[in-house]
Amino acid sequence: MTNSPDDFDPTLDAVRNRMKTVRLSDAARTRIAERLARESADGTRLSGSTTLRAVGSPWRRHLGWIAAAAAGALLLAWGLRAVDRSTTVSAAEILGRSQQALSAATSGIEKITYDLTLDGVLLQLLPEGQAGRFTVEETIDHDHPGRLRVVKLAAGETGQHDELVRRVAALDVARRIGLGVPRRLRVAKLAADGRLAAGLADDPLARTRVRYVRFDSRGFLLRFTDAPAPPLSLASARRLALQILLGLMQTSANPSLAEIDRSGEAAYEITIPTMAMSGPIVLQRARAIISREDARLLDFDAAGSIGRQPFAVTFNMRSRELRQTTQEDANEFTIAPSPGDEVLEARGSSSIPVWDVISRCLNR
Amino acid sequence: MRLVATAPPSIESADDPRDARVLRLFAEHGDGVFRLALLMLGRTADAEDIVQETFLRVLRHLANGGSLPNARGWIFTVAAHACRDRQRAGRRWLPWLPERDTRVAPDRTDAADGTQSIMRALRQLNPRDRLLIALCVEGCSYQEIAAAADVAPASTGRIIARARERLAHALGVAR
Repeated sequence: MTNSPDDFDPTLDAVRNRMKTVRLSDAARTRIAERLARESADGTRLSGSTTLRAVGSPWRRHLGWIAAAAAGALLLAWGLRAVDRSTTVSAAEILGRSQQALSAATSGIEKITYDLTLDGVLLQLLPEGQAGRFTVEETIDHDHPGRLRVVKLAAGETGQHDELVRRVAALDVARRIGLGVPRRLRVAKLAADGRLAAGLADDPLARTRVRYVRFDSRGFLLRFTDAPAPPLSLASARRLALQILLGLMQTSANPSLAEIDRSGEAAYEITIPTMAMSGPIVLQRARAIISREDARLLDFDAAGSIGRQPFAVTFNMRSRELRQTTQEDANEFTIAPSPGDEVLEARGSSSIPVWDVISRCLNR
Repeated sequence: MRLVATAPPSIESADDPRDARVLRLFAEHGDGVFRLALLMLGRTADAEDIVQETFLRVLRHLANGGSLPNARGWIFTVAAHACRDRQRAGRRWLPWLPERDTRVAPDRTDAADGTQSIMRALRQLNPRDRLLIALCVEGCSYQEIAAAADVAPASTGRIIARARERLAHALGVAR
């Protein structure tokens, strides 16, 4: 082998002859030289983008920390939105933002309504007879950890349920949800029409925990008083699971990214066509739709396996509402029994598994 | 060097020998790095970005006390890695949309105007072959090519020969 591949090769020579006239433009040459000079004059390493840009006015460098802080605040307030609109963002970056949005510090009471379908090994997390597609309504008090209520509405009663959802969507779009509306909706859901399939409500402030399950068209409500808060709430577990799955999507080598319109809301659609793996969890396919405005997860559809046991999960956000804690409904974090329901009262204990108690009651 | 002048910085105007060296290296190898990046990425704007990124790295390397015994090899290796990073990242970015593109038209003819057939042929090659051809065109040695392309020095000649064959075939198709 010679030291250089310079021996005559007609193909290479043709390329060389064609390319020898290709040079940097004078404008680009000047810009780069100026950028090098600025970097050298600053005397510090500049991080971030090296995309060619016009040279800024020199006086800007001397404004000091106050100007820098103000610029930082402006960037946070408006800049990030603008970046999303005017330039490109990567799929991994959007997934990361969505992960952060799931655990972002929020204040007030949040009520979200979503459709959830679990299949495969995840069904084992649910009591028997609770499988299928459900609409779930979660109410979370972000100012008091562990304070939440989750009610699950069975699929099947599509007539009334769709009507309910239409009402929620219409009010949501109009941004005119009044104090009375959520209360009325909640009462309607809890009416004795057979739509409530299951629910749980934990209120550490009142030291109560309520569990509700429907079995053979009969509702059972178990109310614990003087009960300690559970170490991990259901809402935290859901958030954690979604964060893990989004993290797995981030590790995928070639996710596809597209901008879509989801019911009038600008959103990103990210799909991983190939397998992603982390320990015992394998993601064979996944699709996430994430709001462009605040990186909220709007839709999620994934299938894979956990410890070689297949699973599938589908999550579709229907509506979200956030309001101040001062506008709290006194009965918001409990579940009232419907006519004909069996009500069981007990004193709470952290050592008694709730579903064991319910199962025992149902068997009896 | 303290150049914040209206005129473009030049080697003569640089006070600091380090800065003068960077500007000299830019003058010597700027066009070569630009051609390499253009052959790799196919877009003038991306190639200009690679040139800037490469020479900023040279500046930082020297500012941190680094040495450049083989400046050309070092520069082309950095440029090759930057191109590959950009190619890799490009696969995960949103496609180009006219409404998103706010750039103005360049003030001169695109550098690749006279090399369309070459660019078309190169696009048919895989990224490693494209890099090997680009480094050969710039007259790099086998050692420099092996370092820049992350291939074993012993097999560099063989790999380059295959890349040439594929380029010849692609040029035949492109012609």
